[in-house]
Amino acid sequence: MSTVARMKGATKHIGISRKRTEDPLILMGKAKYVDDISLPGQVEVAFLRSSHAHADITRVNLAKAKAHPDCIKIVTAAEMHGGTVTYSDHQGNLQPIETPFFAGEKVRFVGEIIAAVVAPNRYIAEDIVDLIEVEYEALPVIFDVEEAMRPGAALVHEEILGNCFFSDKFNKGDIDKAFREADLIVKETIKTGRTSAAPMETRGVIAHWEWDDTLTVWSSTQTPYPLRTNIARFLHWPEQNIRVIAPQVGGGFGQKAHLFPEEFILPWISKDIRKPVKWIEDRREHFLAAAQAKQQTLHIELAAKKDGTILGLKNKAIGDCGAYSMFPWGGIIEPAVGNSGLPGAFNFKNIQYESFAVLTNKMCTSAYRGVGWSAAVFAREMAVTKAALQLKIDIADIYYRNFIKKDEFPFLSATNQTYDSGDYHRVLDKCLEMSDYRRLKAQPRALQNGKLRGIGISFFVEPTAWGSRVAEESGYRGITTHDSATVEMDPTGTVTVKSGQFGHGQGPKTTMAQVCAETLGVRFEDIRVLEGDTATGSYGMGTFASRSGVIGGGTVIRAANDVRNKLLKIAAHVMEANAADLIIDEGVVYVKGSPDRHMTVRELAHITYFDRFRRPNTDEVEPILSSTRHYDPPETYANGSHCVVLELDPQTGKIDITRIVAVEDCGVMINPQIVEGQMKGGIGQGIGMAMLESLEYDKNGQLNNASFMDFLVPNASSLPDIDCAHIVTPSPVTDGGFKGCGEAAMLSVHCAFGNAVADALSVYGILVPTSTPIGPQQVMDLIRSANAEH
Amino acid sequence: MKPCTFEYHRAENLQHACELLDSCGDDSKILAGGQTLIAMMNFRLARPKLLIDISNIADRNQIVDEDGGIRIRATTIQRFVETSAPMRQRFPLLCHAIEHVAHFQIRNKGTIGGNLVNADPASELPAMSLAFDAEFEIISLEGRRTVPASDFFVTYYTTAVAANEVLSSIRFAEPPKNSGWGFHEVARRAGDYALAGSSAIVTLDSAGKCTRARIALFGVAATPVRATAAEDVLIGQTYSEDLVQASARNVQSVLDPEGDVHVTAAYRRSVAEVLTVRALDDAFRRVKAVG
Repeated sequence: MSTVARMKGATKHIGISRKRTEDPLILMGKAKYVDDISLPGQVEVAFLRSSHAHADITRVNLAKAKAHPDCIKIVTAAEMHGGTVTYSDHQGNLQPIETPFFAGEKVRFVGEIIAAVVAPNRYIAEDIVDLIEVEYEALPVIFDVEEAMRPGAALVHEEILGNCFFSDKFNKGDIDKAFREADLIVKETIKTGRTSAAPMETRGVIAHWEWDDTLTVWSSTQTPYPLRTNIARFLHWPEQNIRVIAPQVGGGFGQKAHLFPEEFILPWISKDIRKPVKWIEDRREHFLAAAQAKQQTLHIELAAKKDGTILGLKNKAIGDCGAYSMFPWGGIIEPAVGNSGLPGAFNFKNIQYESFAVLTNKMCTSAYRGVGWSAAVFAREMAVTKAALQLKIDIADIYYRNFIKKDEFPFLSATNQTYDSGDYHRVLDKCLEMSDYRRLKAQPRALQNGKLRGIGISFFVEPTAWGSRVAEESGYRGITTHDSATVEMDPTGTVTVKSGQFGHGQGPKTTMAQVCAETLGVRFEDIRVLEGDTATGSYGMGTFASRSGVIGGGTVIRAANDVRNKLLKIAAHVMEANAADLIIDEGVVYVKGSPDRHMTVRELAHITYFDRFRRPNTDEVEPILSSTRHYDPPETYANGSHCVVLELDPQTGKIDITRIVAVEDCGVMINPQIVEGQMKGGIGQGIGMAMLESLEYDKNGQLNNASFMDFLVPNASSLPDIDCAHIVTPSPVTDGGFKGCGEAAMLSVHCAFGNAVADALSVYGILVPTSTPIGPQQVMDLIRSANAEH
Repeated sequence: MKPCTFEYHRAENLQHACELLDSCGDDSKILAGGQTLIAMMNFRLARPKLLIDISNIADRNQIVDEDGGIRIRATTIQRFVETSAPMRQRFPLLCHAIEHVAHFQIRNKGTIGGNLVNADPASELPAMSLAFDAEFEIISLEGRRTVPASDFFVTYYTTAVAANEVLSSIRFAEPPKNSGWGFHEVARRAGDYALAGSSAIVTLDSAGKCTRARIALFGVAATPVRATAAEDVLIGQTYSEDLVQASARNVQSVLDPEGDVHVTAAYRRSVAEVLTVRALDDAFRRVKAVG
């Protein structure tokens, strides 16, 4: 306990940087991931995946494969029909597209499943996959979204004309007037690269059907309950007979908040062959067939006055959604969600945007930390960066001039998001001060070592607590979420929290116990959090979209409060005191003002369960120390700022980041150390998007870098130490005052990086990046474009 | 990503490896550190029927003095060379280059010979063999032969080592006294294959005139390349910025780069010249520091 850091304003349990309950098992190598689970009689699956991006399948010859002595079963579309179809209630005009479990007559991206081979182990299964002969008749490959939308373009799905399965338009204020009155209009076309969350653990599924017609599924998923419900829905099995377990999950980042064909195929096979079956995705499959993200083409226009006042924005966002509408988010998540976040911290009133979700012959894009916002805010920030350079006003001063002030909350943004609270100017002050921004900016860019120093800043507003309200404000008008938790006190006074949330890095076993300890008044050590198993939890959507701190926290507060009130009622009876005069603190109940009169929670729990002579009449007070509560919170918006300092080699385009500062206001922090983990993890991934990561599809739809050798994620050498700081403005609208903090950096740090590149290159003129990632090639192209202009 | 079925043999010595190779022919592969081969097998891009493991032979790590140079046994792990005190003193450029080969965990498994026979043109060691006038000793059941570095690399991932042969050792010549070296590469991240790289050794006489030069580049053609035209510019000259730039311009004639998912061919051309300037600058500076 002596190592536990308390932050200013911390209560007994909230605001404490407690070490994570989760970590010892992980650090000892004893945590069990899907691949660590092995069932007696288990067999393994390998998939034959399409090698063509777009083709008719004219023949699948299984003869040689079936003749293999160890071949147990081969499944194709001929046997297992159907697929998943995205909910139509997300958005009015989202056209439904079925994602088939198996490609039948046609393949639409490289990596699409054609057949599943079942064999005693994965080695043999892959040998058998090699024996399957597929004849393809190649079709034109749709590679680029703008070409896909042109009249006469080939179609990914015949029923989706123009390859566009969703479009939306939004107008607020008087955008024409704003652009008429502008002194400066910046127009840019921004292209964000296609990335992968690339979690350390790939996907994996084990399905075990048993003779009592029950099914247990272990999956490396972020959403065990929705998986259970949708297996029932799409395989037409009774939901009460299905149990989904998400064991230790080695990272999800939104990518595993989808339901994939493999998660339906494995259960189907297990029932068909009456054996437990296992599939562990390899890294190559992961790059080909796990959800990808962030590829958009954005046409952004910004109107500003000479003094730096921003009057309004126009944006046309086209999401490169791949070959299907990824279940359950439906592909609109990139363009539609992105546009909803365009205003950020800016107070302008005029906006016009269009969103298009467009099909191409690639793997689907969908949720990944920062979802559509990463692309949209990058477009906005590069436009603001350019405006600042053209107006010769420091971008920080543009921020100060245009940001919402602390007395303006609640604030309705230009895209109708209700920001509950914040102090953006104070956060910005702190970030500039910590990074020594003004002093660095005043110094020459050229350094002694021949490099150019660049200093970049950015600011984000993050929609958090993804319940029904934030979903609606982020572009999902029809979504209803459901989340709950059960808090239960045992006869010995210890407590079990059963949550519908589920951690895979976020540490909820720790934070939910902290919230429960605080609310209920018991010791942290006496609480256990159960999660990730539909047989032992309480229904919930899962953990993604910066939702679990707020929603999980809220459900636990409500349920723990019920248990506390019940316990106090019983204590009042037993101790012959007024319930209002009782205090529970660290497992001991006192009478206020008479500390001698006390009983332990353990004694009271025992009495409640087993002592009919001392407990209250059970007709009046039921002896159940348990409560299940639901929470669908109002919208709450976190905010923060990043500063990136870098050195750029103008002869090679190589960039070294020398400093990153991050300041965040996510309201009341349950565990500041976990918040900093989120901040730093997000910065790592944000820098990945900014300078390294890009899934490179060629014009034939082949993925040319489906391994970690060429798909580059940041490693230790790519990042400097990161300095974090916090400003706390509690949310006035959520239980506990919490705001989420998961996406954060991916709405911002890549923009600070782009801004810093433009700053370093300002010695050549106004050179603002228009694409991600910004690698050495892109830097040299920018410098060359300056030279070409002269 | 599981390999096809293969047979595995552990060779007792290189002679034994040759015998195994001879009996199995084209379907066999020598396994040394396995840092490339095993990954290729997992992707099923390599499907050898037989693996002949030479990583357990006696004295696998061996560096011996040989008149005017050193001979490194092919099975020597990279990290062994990199951390050898005499090597760091006598061949600082070679050790510095090895530090750029992937990450130390990989260098603890990867061998000098394995890296060279793999002949990735973007790797550092093949270029080093050119910079140090290396000779490759290759053995088979028919005997042994010596191939100079200039003839060793044929094209991408292809060397003079035939299917029935094993690389047994490499001799690196020690540069004359009064030499200095330089080495620069650009990679997306530390430890990645270089997008392009250049290395230089210059030797000066007492008047500061260049009497000998080696410039070797990597990541810029189907093989590592030595830029003799650029070297010639330096001979008989004393250091100046103009001289170094004039020399570096002459690397262009030996470059034949390709574009990939990271950078274009034109990028590699331009950066190869920049890195050569830097390598030469460092090389001249280091001689002065010694003198």
